[in-house]
Amino acid sequence: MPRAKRLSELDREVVSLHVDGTLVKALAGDTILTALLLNTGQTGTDAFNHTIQAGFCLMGACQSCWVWTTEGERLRACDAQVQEGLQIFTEGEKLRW
Amino acid sequence: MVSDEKIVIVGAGPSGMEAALTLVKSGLRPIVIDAGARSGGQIYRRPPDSHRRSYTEIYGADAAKARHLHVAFDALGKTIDYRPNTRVWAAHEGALFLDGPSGRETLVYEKLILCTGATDRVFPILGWEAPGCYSLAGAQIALKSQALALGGPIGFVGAGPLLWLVAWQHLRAGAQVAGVWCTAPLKNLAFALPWLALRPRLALRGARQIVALWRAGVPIQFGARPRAVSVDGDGQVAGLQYSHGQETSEKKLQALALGWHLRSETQLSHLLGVPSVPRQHRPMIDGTGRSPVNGIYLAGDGVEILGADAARTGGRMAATALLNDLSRPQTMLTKLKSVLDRIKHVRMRAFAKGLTRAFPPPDSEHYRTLPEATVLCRCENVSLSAVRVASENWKCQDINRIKALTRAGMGRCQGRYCGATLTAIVASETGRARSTIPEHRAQAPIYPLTIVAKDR
Repeated sequence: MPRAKRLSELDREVVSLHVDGTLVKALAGDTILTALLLNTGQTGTDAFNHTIQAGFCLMGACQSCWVWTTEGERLRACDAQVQEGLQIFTEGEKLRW
Repeated sequence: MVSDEKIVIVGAGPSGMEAALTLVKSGLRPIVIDAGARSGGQIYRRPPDSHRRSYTEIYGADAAKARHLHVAFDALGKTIDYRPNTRVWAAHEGALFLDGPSGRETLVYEKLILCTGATDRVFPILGWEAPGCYSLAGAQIALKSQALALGGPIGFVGAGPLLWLVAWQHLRAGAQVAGVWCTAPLKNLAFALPWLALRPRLALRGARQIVALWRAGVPIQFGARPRAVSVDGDGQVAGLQYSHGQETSEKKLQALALGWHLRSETQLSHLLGVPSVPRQHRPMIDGTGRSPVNGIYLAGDGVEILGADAARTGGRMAATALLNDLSRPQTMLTKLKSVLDRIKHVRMRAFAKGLTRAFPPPDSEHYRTLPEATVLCRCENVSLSAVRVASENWKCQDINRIKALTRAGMGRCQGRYCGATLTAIVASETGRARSTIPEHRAQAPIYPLTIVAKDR
């Protein structure tokens, strides 16, 4: 469940992206992490106990918010901005090669 | 004389920006490597272009400083070789290894100014690995650059100036603040007053933030003992359990931000052989930022946590030291400024000492009462019990050995978020001072890299 809340800057262009195949709406200037936190409320799952994760440091240091593009490229959700038509996967193994 | 192209600044926060401005004034053209998309670092981080908030809304009392630095740095234009979105993942004998938009590259330098900044110093409580727990600076970044509250209500746990600042910024931005749990007792703040009085305006600003939170009805606790993070059915943060005296209470909340000051990002200086000050976990520099390693200078929070203003004077001082070493002519004004910077810096260091006294990290009692199941290393899911086994049963008192035995500190964050904890635990178990416990050895790559096999 999403927990994060927008406090201001609501007047921005809407951007659509696909997260694990599902259409997600975000605003221009959002990071992928922001888009995830406002929609599904999570990034991926922890590699050890499979609990959900939702980012931690937001400055590209902790590396806990990795997501993957269709090309298999790995991104930190906190330092990559959303783009129209972007497709991302929250688990590397969900990728269809 | 070295060619201008061989002077490299790593980092574009306040210290890196000031260093660049100083070098350009003397006719040099430094390469500035920035992990961020835009200059400013974390403290003066800029929102995306699509945002419309004013400088005052984003940076508060620091608005004028932020604007001044942004404008001055942007005006440098092509007089510097600015490389955003570029990370230095290793360094070795005069070369930096970069990972940027155009791929990987080896950059040979002759002079290097490291302005690598800091990350949060966090300590564990039971359940803090749950989704909804964030670092304090993380919560601030969400607010500043995304206009986002990570949850409502959101609670703040830790000690240090950032704790009050971030809680107050959330309040001001309209977020629901569940409470502030400051683990340092109020008496520490009283004892630190003589040092804090050295920068009265800054101290008063902090005091006003605490008063504003209190007047807004935000629950505030000094000497707080956070015990555990409660989670809901999804495993997400649902509350904070804390004890006061013999009683334990729980506060319902949706997100928690934790932080006890900051820790310097010292990996690059370690890899390049810059020694640490004996019995202090910080790189050795002289009074101006010159390291004992030829051609390497350090400035800002990456060498010692003194804050943004000291990062600016530090950046200017390090650049001036570099110019002196190159025998570049300097104007009388620059020389005079440099002397003033050194005086300012002494005062800011004394003030920072006061902050350390006012807001110490959790004491050894925190570790004695920490449940065995507490996760210390978030990346590798290593619990306190595993580290205790290594430390007690195997008589392992070096966190680098503990890392090898338990994998604590070996994960994706490379020990950034558990190093301070492991040091504190070994100190607590052995009764030694934290400053005597050897630090994590830096290992390249200092950030995980992707290996991509491409069709040609």
